[in-house]
Amino acid sequence: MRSVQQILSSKQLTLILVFGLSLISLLGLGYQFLLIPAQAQSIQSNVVYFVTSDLDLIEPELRPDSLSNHSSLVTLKDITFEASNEWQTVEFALNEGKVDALVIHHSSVDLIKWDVVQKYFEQQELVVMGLGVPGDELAELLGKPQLFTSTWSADSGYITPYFFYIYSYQIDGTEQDVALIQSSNQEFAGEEIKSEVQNQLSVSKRTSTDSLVYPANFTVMFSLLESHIND
Amino acid sequence: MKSKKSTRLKLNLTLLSLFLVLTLLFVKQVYANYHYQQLVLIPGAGHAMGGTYKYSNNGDNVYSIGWQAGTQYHIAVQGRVWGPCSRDMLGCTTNWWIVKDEQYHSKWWSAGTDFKYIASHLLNGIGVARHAYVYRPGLPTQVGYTSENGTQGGPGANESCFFNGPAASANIISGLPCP
Repeated sequence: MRSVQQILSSKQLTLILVFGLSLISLLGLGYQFLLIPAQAQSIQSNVVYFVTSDLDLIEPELRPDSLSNHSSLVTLKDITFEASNEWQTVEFALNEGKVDALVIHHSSVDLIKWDVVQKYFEQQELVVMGLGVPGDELAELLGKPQLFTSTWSADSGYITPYFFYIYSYQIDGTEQDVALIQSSNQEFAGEEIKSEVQNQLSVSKRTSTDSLVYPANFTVMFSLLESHIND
Repeated sequence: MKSKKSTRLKLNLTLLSLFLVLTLLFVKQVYANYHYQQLVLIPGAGHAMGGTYKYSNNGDNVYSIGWQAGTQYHIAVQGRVWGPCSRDMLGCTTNWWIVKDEQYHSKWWSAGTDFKYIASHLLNGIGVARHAYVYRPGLPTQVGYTSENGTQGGPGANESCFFNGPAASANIISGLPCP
């Protein structure tokens, strides 16, 4: 019987290990350069949940599988929900025009290219929902801090990550009028009309929030998200 | 001969270590790139949420209609749905309310009678809307307030109700606190 040292010093083991290393290297390269780009083209849903790959950072109730299978969701409608931890994948789907709403977990905020999100939020009516992202912070990240209009007199926000904010924004008009309104912040002005708009122009914005401490509010959250998309 | 064996032993151990490290990295990479698709279930029409105030999908909308015939310069409707604050908000008590849903629609040079519609369904709250019109550039803004609760239109609302909500009303269990 051969000793361990004999096996470890054998030529056969060298050949096996070289073969094994070649195989694992090929698998790794194939996964990196073939499978992941293929995934980038695979988003078919109109709601994408962007989350970190580190599941330890995601609260159990906010994990993709928990969220999409939550018991409070009772009737199937026409929203499809898909999770991804690859920003490249999400950006590809945004470019393709497939995404109506982007859902962001608070642990993933730093992984996002916000200039890209801002562009689609402002120009393509992308709905953005933050889970555990403070409303003022999310509005700033979207480039429109005026969207955060809290009326809570003692507002320090929610004290747990179990809450959501949904923002949507639409503006339609001639390029000249849109530029005029946006540059003078008249899009949020209420009745104080100062700019001389020359043609038909419409502006809509919406902010929704609620706590997710109550399990039933997950139903409210999804209904509001659908409403933001459809309105 | 012994030296050759020793060299091969070192080589094999190095290769073995490398193989183990690469395998672990590969497994980690595959695990990190999970990607799957799920359908989300959404409640259908006609549901009402429990709580002090109830809204259903049908008929509970804050709305604004511009009555002016002909072209209006500017029409705006801002709807707010006030709901009780959540227990995970700092300083929250049962008597405090916050705006949980706020919508703003405005249009310049609206031709004829315009209709703006704000769905406030499915939120446990009370809807108050502020309507503002400027019929011609330079004319003063006309402002009015309306509210709705349940399936009934509200008897009207005022500025205080819109900006402060029903926060001052303690232990509300029925009725419409605005105005």
